[in-house]
Amino acid sequence: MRLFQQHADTRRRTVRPRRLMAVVAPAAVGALLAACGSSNPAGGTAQADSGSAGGSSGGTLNLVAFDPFSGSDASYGPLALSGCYPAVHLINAAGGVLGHKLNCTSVDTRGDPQDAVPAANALTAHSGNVVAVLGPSSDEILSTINILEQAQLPSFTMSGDSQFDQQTSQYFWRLVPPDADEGYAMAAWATKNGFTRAAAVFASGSQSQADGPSSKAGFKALGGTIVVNISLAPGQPSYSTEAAQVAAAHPQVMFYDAGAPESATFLAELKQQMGKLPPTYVVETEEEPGWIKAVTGAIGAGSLSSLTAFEAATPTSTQPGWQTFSQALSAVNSQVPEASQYPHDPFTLSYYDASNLVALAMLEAHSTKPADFNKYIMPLTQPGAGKTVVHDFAAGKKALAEGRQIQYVGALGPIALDKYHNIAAPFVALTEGSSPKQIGTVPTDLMIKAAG
Amino acid sequence: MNSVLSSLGFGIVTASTLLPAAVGFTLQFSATGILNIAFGAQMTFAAFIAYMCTQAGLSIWVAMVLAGLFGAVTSALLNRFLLTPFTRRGTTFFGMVVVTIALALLVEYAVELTWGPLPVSYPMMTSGVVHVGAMSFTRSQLVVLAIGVVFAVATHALLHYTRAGKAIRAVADNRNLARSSGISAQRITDLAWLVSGLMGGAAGVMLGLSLSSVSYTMGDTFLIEIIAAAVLGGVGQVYGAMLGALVIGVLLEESAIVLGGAYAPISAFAVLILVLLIRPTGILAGAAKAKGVA
Repeated sequence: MRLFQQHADTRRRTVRPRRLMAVVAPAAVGALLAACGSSNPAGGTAQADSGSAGGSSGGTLNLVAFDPFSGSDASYGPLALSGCYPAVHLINAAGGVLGHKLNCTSVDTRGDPQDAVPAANALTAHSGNVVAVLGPSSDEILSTINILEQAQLPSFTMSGDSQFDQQTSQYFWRLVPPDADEGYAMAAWATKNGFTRAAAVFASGSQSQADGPSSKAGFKALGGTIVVNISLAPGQPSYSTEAAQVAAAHPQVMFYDAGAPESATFLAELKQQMGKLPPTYVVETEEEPGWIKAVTGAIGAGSLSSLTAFEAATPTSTQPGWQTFSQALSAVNSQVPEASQYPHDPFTLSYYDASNLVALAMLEAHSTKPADFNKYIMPLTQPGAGKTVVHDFAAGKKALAEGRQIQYVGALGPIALDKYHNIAAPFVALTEGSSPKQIGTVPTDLMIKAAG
Repeated sequence: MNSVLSSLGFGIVTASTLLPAAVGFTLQFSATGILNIAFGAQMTFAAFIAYMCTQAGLSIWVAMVLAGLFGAVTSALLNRFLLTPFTRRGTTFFGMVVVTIALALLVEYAVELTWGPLPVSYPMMTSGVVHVGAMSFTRSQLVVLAIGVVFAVATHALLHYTRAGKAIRAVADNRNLARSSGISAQRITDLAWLVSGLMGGAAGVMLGLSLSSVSYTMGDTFLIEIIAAAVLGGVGQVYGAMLGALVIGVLLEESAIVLGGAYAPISAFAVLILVLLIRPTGILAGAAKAKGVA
């Protein structure tokens, strides 16, 4: 009996600490989560940076990069910030907007449409200081754009998805050309170079849903033949069969668009089977540092010369708007890793200009509320009689203060937006690599003919 | 016909990478009854260890050995100090699955934090293609194929011609009976996880060679093929895992010819479902029945 009693006593002494821990531990975790949540208004993975010293968090307005910062498209997030930081640096240096400093923050969508939804909900739930969204990307736009629209947040997407070519939301803005135009550019350039037999290799999924069909249809419209049409399913352990099919078709040129991991595998296998890669046309996605690094490791730097990239034309180094941007990018070098990749990146330039447009629109509207200033963005891009052309925020702020109307011509040059808030831009062909060089301008007449 | 044969060759190469992974995965299940969802993440970790070794100037083959040893040690330690305490407390089968899922996420994030989110590559091997009839193989594919064959032969030799291997089979068949026969079940379990970790580590490097890139998520996507191969062959059945690896590997490549690359993954799993409808325990019946999970 005594032994049983002793055992029972021991059990009580043992159980009590366990019960205490069962109560304390969740409370501690809850307190920790609450502390983390209150310090992160965007509700996701946040990297707060003002772009210059002195911004107070109480009056700070946030530009949120809502893009992948991890996963296979992890390069998209830093791309958005690479445009935001230099713009915010200059905006804050010019005194900010209506007494507020601007800040670049980020929310990681992980490039997953499902993960992005709670991130978008958290962003909009704590959007008091958010004035615009730099994103979303193609990975998560379909699942999140409606959430952002309902929150009346101006969103400058980097997605070229064709679904948005004729979208009607007033809060949707796209300063990068539709993906379909990239396909027409590939087709036009191939025709210009006298190619008549092309292989089409595109990743399945949302990435290539526009440039894939447009490159094939465009090439056929220009009299070319697609000799093999391959769809790469991401995440496969091998693409040897697909590479063999391309090799067997003996194409003169290959139209290509796929993510970094599958590209490293497929292009390495194709190179081994063919001896060397055929002339390969790629799009802006394949110019990102992460993609270049992954593929270079697989096929070697020398093989990159087989690749030609196509992107929307950007201003030359003599353009004043670009010069201002370039100087600002140098000034925020410490905040932008591998900054040398971005001076001519159209995504970087688009986010730089987007940040400036938002800031100038707030000044025009005399309000930091997106619902008030959003409608001023479009007029800022349009030429007009009597308008003063400005190339940066400071000049725009000064002109507005003097009562003048302005047209913003920034790092991208003149911004021509159609009624669907999509930009129209010519295309150029570039060498592929960490320092791309322009080869030439894609003939616009061929692009128009390819587009039918 | 040539393209079908050519794809057969590619399928055999894929199967060679899948074989050590599927066998390792199955060994763990047969020894302990644990469905280790973290296996893919462990493979990835070992692949990055090999990458680190190559960056330090070691050859890829030395790096593969070191990665295998790393996989072996970490696997045995994980089982002994993390998973075994859970099973001793009576955690259910599905509870253990959840534990391994959490472990997989932890390992994956640790890898991402350490080496970053972007893919990396091993030093490139010399290029060149070897033709065997209608099939063609690159040099790296031939090496992967050879390693796969070595693992298959070594596994057979271990299980049939060594005392340890026979003890592993005894424990897999009936742990209590094996214990009462004088076999130290815990030691044999440790050995099984050691061997399976070695195979998983090597498979991670082989996968990195096949893909020409190593990324922190590669083990996740490959795990689906591993489980398919293990289940197809018969859960807990090592020879079944080998057969399953061959079937899945060939199916993935052949269906790319017939259905197109976008549908290749679907076809392999469609066949898996068909086989299981006809033979629920897999092609070769195995420990699944004894473990009460099939």
